[in-house]
Amino acid sequence: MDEDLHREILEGHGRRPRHKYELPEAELVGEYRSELTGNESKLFLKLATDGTVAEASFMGQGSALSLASGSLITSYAPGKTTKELLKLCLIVSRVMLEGADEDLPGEMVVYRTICRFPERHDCALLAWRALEGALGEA
Amino acid sequence: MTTSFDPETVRRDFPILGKSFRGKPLAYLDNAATSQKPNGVIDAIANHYRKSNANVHRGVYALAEEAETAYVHARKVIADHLNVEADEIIFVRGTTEALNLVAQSHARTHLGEGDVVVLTTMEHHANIVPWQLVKKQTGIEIEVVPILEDGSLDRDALSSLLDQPKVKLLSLCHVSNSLGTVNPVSAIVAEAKESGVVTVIDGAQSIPHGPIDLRDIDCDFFAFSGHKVFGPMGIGVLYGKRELLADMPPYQGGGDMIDEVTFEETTFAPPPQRFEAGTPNVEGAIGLGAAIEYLGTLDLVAAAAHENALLEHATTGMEALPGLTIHGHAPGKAAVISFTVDGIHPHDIATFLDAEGIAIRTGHHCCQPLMKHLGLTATARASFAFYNTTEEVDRLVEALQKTIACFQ
Repeated sequence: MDEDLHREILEGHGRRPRHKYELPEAELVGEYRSELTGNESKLFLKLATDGTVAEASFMGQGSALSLASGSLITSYAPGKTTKELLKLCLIVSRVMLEGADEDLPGEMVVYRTICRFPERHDCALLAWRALEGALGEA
Repeated sequence: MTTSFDPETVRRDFPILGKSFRGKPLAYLDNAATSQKPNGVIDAIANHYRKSNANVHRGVYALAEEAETAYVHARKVIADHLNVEADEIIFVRGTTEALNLVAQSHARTHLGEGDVVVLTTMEHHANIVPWQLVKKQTGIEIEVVPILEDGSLDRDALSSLLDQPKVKLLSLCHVSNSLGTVNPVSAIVAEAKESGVVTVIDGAQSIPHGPIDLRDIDCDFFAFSGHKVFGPMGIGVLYGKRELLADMPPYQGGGDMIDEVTFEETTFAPPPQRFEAGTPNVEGAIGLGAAIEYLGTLDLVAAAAHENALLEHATTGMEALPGLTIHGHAPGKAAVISFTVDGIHPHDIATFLDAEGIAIRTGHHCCQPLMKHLGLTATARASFAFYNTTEEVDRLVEALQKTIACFQ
């Protein structure tokens, strides 16, 4: 059942990705390109004065799953600190790559299903790697 | 479809084909990556461990003799299937190791700075990287024969290269794993021989698709993997002409490949033992022998005709789908279809097909230079074996139709 729900969430984000636009005024920008699939993702984070994310957006080309990750991240990021986002990056990475049983907030639970499809890890983690790149600038 | 081959009968020999995934019967269309195994192979491996397991070579007891006999028999079965001699069959881990063996033992010894090795655009990385290693070690050059629009080899370009005196070795695939192109290796080898060029054929993708007569092809080396031809993983074969093998140094040193060892000097065993250092993959050899024996029970010409019928049926169905492009239309191609669909990433296609129980492969298929040539980073690929059915092809086309509709 979870798998169906997760698939539905992913299809929603993959087919109609949210926040898919350039954000020229973003302070933090990260980019990632996968040599394996040719997928590309660029992530933008605009910060508020208190250091939290005011607005997040992404650009990218590639599979629906890679776009879904960009959409999920940019929907989640506003209001979070860069530290909180980095922590989530690590959790998602552990869930995906090590099958770790850790809490995932809201729609991020979809990664519990994706982790069972190793062939798709590269697509699913693409935008996360771009996010890590952006946070590396913080 | 009107062939005398009945896939339903052979399917009963392959237990995995009866499995279901996601509530749908498995349609296994990833045969170019690996083939499924018949009961004969599975039983041969299990029975070896149940009844005959001992180390081969020099065992002076009945059980070891039994293991040795089975190992020797496997080599003979494979040699007979390819119409060559048993001492021309070297057991290796797979095509990759076979090609590395030729590169490191033959090419590194016999080629030098400025000599040219010719490859083609459609080669798998396993037939590119070993030669690049030799290039670094010896200073050889690598030239690449391009492909034509339809995915067939540019024979004129090949002929011009073969005319050049510096060209010493040609290594090419018999069948392209991405495009399905079948290279006319007999004619190509004949042409290369006129120029004194040594020929290496990567047969990984051709051996599952029909009978192979290496005396007829007359190449110097031929490499293939057991797992692509219904045998186990981790075993493969390098065929080499006796006179060339005799003139090659060992690839690896160790036990089982020597005549006599002192700390001052070692004399090496003759081929094939010279190239099989250490305890061999006995179960793999026995399993591969069983796979080849299984093929011997089939009408391989009729099986190939059935595969061709599947290919035609799939091509017709897929070409009718909006936005779908098939890459590779060489005449007489093998039952491999690489394709892309406008606006849908190959990985998404595979995930949608997986939900329908259909297994295909996506990615660059270890052919990045070919993908670059095609202007792609990845394709989806459906590849067929004789145990596939028209119904499975229909399911593939229907699922693709559904996927395309879903993304519109």
